[in-house]
Amino acid sequence: MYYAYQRRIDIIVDNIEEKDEIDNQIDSFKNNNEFKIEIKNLKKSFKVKDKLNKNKEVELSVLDGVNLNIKSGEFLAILGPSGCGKSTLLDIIGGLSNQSDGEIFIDGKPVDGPGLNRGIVFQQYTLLPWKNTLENVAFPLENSFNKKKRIKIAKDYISLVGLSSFEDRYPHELSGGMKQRVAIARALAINPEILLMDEPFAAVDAQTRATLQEDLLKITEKYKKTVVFITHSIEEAVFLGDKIAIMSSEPSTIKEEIKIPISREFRIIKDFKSSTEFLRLRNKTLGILKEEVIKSQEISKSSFPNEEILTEEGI
Amino acid sequence: MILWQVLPTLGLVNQIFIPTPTTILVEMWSLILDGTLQADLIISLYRVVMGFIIALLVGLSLGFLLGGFFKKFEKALNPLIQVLSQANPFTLFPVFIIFLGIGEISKILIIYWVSQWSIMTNTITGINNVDPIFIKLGKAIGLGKIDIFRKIIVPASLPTVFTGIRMGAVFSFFMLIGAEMMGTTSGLGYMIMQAQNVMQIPRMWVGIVVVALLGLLTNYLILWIEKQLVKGKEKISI
Ligand SMILES: Nc1ncnc2c1ncn2[C@@H]1O[C@H](COP(=O)(O)OP(=O)(O)OP(=O)(O)O)[C@@H](O)[C@H]1O
Ligand SMILES: [Mg+2]
Repeated sequence: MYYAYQRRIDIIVDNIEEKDEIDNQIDSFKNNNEFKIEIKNLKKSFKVKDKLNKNKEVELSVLDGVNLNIKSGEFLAILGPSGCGKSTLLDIIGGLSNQSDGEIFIDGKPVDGPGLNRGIVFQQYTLLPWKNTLENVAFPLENSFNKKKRIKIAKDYISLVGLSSFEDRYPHELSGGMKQRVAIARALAINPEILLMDEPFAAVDAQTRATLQEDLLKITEKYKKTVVFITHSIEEAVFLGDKIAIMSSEPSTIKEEIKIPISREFRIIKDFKSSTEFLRLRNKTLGILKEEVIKSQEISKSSFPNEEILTEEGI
Repeated sequence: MILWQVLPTLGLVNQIFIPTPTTILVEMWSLILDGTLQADLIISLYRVVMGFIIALLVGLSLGFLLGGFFKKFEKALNPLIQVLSQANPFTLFPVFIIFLGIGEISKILIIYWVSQWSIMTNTITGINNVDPIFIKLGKAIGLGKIDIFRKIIVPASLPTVFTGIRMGAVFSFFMLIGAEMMGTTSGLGYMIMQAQNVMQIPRMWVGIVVVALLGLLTNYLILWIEKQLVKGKEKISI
């Protein structure tokens, strides 16, 4: 029974793969200039104190020529060793910090500061502790809508992430996973075209995580969002991404892009995660990432253990 | 409380120096009847409230300005603030009296002067300790400088600010009594001082009890206001 199901999915998947390849070719003809986000040779370095001479400042190069193109409506998952500059890249896309060199365009226009066309879910918890769930989600709407409208919109998005019965709770009364769901609702509430998410599900258990992943995929599909999603979990990246970008250890570039040639519709079917295609993609990604993680440890001899990145979700 | 009543009654503690609560209550009642307690209370309240309110206005505005908008200026000023706030308030009395005489103004101003520091420094600390990620969030949702200050920095620093305000209130009462013990002929501090000089111990205790109650009351009032303003604060007990 199980194997029969597995085969059926794999056949579907194979068919999609062929179809997708044709799609790709068509895309590359017509879509050359219609990227939602274009990142060209982006560089970023920070001034940090020198290890030996505390009074001297040295340049720490974090991003060293990142090139990425993200199509409108595409879901891009980014993987990379810890400290390679994923959050830094997201900050720059969000307009929260400036690149040292290179260019970044959204809808063909250079990024100049933050804007409401981008909703950000930060890696840290960022719910305002003095506001309850409803007020937190309504917060970014304060300058654009009257109170009644704000509350209505906030309620809609809170129910979308399944927290309607927690509207009156303050952040310290919510679990870590709930907090991140509120943060997602808040990012969605401004109805941005682009969602920038930095490991939003890192703090939740595997079961909840699976549910949240599915919900996110459905939501972003329904509302046609362009998503940049950072994660440490390979399975998450393969499940969510239309495309996976793997970053090299710092100073980082995009080492490789892997297309996930399977439509979201089929990925949402639960058993995609146990199909052989899924395993194949996962192993491929794992192989590339492993090299980078090992390299990054050789470089920095950081305290970051190998397993942390590679065994998440039981790999 | 019971101990306080029982020990002096049994003669275990000298009744002359520590009278029983009932003795104090009786004395208090008689002072209320002849109106002296109310008179002293009102003049003291006037001084402490004026001094504290000026301290609040100056401490909060300087604190928010220095902490929020003039960070560099604050850094440069910090050592000076430290020195001024550490200076022994009682050595400042003569200075105030020389410049302002022994009238009401000098008493109010010395209460203000001493109380403002904890309010100011706690406000600055509160602002400095606002998690930068909240400010990042503010920028991300398109807030300008003023909105970030109003909607994020102020509410985020409020718990620390209130700690400063409560400390400031304590200093206000402390300085009230101090100021009234020198160069005045009215107020609760004067009453305590005077009673002590003529060995009217129960009357002295009436003064002390009233001041203590006022202090407590003020503290609860501020805590109550804080509770109305500061939402979502986790209550942790050790
Ligand atoms: N403001 C800053 N000043 C100096 N160095 C910084 C700053 N922000 C980040 N860095 C450095 O840049 C590098 C990349 O940091 P970043 O947070 O982007 O990593 P990351 O890929 O998101 O890591 P993780 O997966 O652990 O979240 C790190 O070496 C970090 O120390
Ligand atoms: Mg990060």
